[in-house]
Amino acid sequence: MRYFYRATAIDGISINETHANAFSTSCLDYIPGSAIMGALAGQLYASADVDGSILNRLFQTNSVMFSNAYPIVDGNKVSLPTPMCLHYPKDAKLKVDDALDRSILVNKCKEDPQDSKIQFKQIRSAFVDAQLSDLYSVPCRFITRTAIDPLRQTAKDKTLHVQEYIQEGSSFCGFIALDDELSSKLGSKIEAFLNKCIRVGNSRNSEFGRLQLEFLPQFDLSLNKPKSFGNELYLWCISDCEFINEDSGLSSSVPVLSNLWEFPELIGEGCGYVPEKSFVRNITLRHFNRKRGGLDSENLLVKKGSVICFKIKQPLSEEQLLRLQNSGIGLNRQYGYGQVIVNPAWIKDNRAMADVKQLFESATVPSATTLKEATVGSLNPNLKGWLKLAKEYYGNLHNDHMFIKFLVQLYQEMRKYLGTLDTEFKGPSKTQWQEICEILKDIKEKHGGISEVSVGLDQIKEYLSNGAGKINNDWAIPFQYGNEHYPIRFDCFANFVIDYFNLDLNRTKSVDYFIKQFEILTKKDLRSVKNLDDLAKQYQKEESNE
Amino acid sequence: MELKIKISFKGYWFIGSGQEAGAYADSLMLKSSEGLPYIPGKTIKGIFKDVAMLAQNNGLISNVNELFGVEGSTITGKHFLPNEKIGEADFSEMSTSGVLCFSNAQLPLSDKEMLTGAKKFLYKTIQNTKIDPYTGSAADGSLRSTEVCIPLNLFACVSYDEALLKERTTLTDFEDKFKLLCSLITEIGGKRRRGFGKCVVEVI
Repeated sequence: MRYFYRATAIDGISINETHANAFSTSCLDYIPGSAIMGALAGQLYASADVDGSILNRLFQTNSVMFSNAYPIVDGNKVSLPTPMCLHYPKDAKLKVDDALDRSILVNKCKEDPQDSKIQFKQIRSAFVDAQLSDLYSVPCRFITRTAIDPLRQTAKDKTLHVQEYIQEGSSFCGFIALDDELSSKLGSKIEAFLNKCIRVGNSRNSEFGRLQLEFLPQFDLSLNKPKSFGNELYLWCISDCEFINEDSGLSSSVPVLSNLWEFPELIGEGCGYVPEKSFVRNITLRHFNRKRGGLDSENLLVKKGSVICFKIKQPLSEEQLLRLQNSGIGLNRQYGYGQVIVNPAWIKDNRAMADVKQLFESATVPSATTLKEATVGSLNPNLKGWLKLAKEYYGNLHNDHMFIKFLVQLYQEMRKYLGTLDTEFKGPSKTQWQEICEILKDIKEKHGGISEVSVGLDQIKEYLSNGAGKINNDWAIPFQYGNEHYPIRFDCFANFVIDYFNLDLNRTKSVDYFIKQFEILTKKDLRSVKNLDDLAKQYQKEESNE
Repeated sequence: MELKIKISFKGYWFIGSGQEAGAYADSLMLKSSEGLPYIPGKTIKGIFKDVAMLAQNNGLISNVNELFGVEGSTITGKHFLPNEKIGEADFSEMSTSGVLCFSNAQLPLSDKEMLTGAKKFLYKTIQNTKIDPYTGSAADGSLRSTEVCIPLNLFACVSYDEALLKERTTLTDFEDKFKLLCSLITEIGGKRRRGFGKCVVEVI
């Protein structure tokens, strides 16, 4: 029986990928089955109400599988490690506009003479969902840490390091598979464990490690209904697999057919691993044994995502294939090793990968129960006051008074650009800004509402361009080029203003707002305004006095 | 068992991230993925362990090693049977984990939501420089700017297994002792010897 669960990281989760003692340590991007097994073992061994022989069977034999917990993507979809038989041309881009370009993906398990002319790159990382809609990765972050010497109260030598961790909030899905006998004896304890908050990984006692488990009683994931491929057996490794060389008794880097012990009928002359159709990568791993206080012996594993092809003596029935898929292969399945998908249909599918509908049977993981966070009080009132003040000061200066600042800046820049002296009057006077105000007030009286302001814009433009905006020295600023004088007409400036007016309309400013803005301009000689922030503050003061 | 603690900062505070930002600041504040300040659990554990050692040296508390764990110098290689107690002598050589687990100190969820558009107002930069003792003026090349956070209230939780606490320690009034430790903490974070990080820690 399979007990599925959802695991949500409350804190960051840091489980080392390697045991290297380098400056920085990279972490796994999934929760290994051994971590869940360790957490359960810590609880069950400490309790006195479970027989030791049952516990040994639970944790020390191949009859129980603690699967790896892989990320839940797009909110509720199960994901699996990308099969390593997927390749793409080396000079092509795997993602276009952040979306996976499936048209360039190639399944190298199928032979294609055209492929020999192209150099391909293998996809070795990330996770895929059932529809191969994207390649997903788990968000990870880095943090730099050091220790403080308690005597000197300064940073301790040789303790600076960088730690990578899975970001809090990430969700994963896994299962614990028990046989019927163990399920009847321990089922309730397993269910209770799968509703707890456990701690996994490095630095569990500080900062990292909290994982909230949630038992999913109604959820089931069958992944694949395998069909026979005759004398070929394809295995897509969805977890690391450990094979043993039966002659030497050591871990094997190469998959070994005889390790499928439940099916001795597969072995015959000429049968075995087919490297030409397989895509296998290896890793070495040494589990840390807390009790012994050190590392266990080294395991050589076939990495998850590998695709293995065996030539077998006789075809297996569909029932046998399903049994193989459910039981797993190789050693140490209690650590989550040996999980495979047998004979996935897409491997032998003649269609291009872009046309393949699904890699495995999809399933929707139920949404997580919202973790309740106790409300322990609202913001400090001093903080609220600070934020209000800061927002008003900086926010108002930036947003509400942009219009005035824009106008004044534009006007002053134009004067500077043309070298117009401060004493020389050029451009709109207060009277002329007042005229624009009157037009706006007129619009407000007759039409009201903000959309009607646009009706008056043409009037304002006409006034600025033709009425007062005639080409004369009062409005236009002459630009000399050679012996000719070219006026920079104020209507160019006016067009900027109108455009900005239109832009502000979209921000749902009221007519009153614009009237007020222009009224301010009527009180100022724009030549003499030096500090725009002072202008804005003065506006705020006037507004509050009203 | 879980104890919730509240850390109320009374002045500017700073937790270093090891990062710098050019002309803006030489040291940046540590921020979460949401851009909000937080105190890492390791920092909180370190501060508590520091005051616990001080309290133990003054006879106010015992079993500090059992509560916070020990960073051993060597591994004895000794195999312990499941029910065998780890003795004091073994602690001096072996790395052991403590009973207490410290989470990060963060703003509560409701405050995080409220601060969504106002994060930038939580930080400001403070400049400091060294004064040359002979000339009395600023020493060349010594100007540094640090991004600090305004005073906030942060919340963390300290969890422990009661059965494990009883097994490993002789403490009968652990919560009272823990409140005592909270009262001994007066500063947290970087530059706390220079006026930053003044705070009050209390169990709520």
